[in-house]
Amino acid sequence: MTDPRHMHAPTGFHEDRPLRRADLLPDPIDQFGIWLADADRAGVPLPNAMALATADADGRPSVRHVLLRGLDDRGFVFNTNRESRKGRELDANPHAGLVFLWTQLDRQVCVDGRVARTTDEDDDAYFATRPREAQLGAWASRQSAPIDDRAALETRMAEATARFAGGDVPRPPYWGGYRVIPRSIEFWQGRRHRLHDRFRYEREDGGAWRIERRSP
Amino acid sequence: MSEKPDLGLDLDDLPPEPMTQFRVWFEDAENEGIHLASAVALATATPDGDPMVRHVLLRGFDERGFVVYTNRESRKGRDLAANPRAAFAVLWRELDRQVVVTGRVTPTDDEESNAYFRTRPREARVGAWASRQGSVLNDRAELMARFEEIDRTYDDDVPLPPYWGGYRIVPRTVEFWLARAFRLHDRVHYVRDEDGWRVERLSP
Repeated sequence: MTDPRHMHAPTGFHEDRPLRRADLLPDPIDQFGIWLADADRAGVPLPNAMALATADADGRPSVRHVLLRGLDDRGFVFNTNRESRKGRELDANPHAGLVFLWTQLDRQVCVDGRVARTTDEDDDAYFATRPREAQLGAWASRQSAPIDDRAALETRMAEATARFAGGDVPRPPYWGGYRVIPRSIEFWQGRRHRLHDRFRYEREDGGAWRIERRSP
Repeated sequence: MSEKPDLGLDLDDLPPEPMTQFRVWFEDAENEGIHLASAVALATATPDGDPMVRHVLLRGFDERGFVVYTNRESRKGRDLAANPRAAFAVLWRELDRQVVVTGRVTPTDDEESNAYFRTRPREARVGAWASRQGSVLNDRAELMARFEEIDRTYDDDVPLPPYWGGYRIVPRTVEFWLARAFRLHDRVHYVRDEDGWRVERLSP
């Protein structure tokens, strides 16, 4: 059995980096783009990794990391197997939460909103940009289904490779994108003594964004 | 993917219950020097199924489950009071590893919350009193004024605020995920049933 394990308080933040109301752009997607570029410049590995939370029809939450594949004024796009747990949950309950964490900058961004499928054209275009091995991997894996062993997966990969030898690999019909259309976006800057700076953008009925500072 | 060698995750090498395996991976992450290796993305949902996720620090784990602390009046505290189920994911990017846990949540008792609160630095204890987590603030000065007021009110012994405490996530499933080439990742899934833990491999 595992011995109880207790964690120490974190050894503190990096340089103190205030976030002020005056620093924020009026549109949170623009602001997000700046922070994502900052994270990339700071050398954060996989700066576009985000934890995606969904819930089943009974309200039971689940979460896993996915990569942000696209960002535009409509929202945050990622791709997946639509038959995976997250795909099935999103089709039944099209609401999601996202969070990005860039510890090197003591920053976090939380998003919540409704989710819509991206179009077949978008999905085809994105799939075509993926490396061939990743395209074949999308055919080989029945995402989230139990599998006997690693060899079974490798056999399926070999079958997909043979099946599409000498030609393009088409997008599997069960593979595609979702867009999280933000209702709120929060920017969190960690600061000492847990007196963090938090600003939350919320979409008002008219479509404009309201910005409020939140207690940390 | 990192430049690490592509070492697989084999069911035969894994312990029969997941907490032992979690400890191994957690300690690997610490030994790798990953900053805030204990930061987990904690997902909660309102009773009608609106999910939300944010990072919290894991403060402890043992065979009963995983403990986090927060302000019980925050959004996550309110979600958990109304819908005591949660999930968390922790990604150790430098190791191409992720662990995902789902389960029921129970509040820690006051004794346990108190014991943990006393281990926090004094400033963090004052900070817990100063912030009405999640509520709207006019400006930072308002927060700092409250911090200074609390700081003056208490000497060294800053007590546990009544709205502050821990939650234990009692795992029902624990998944270990290792990124591998061509997105043919290894995923090993522990599920708790009446007889104990069952382990299976999932398609990536």
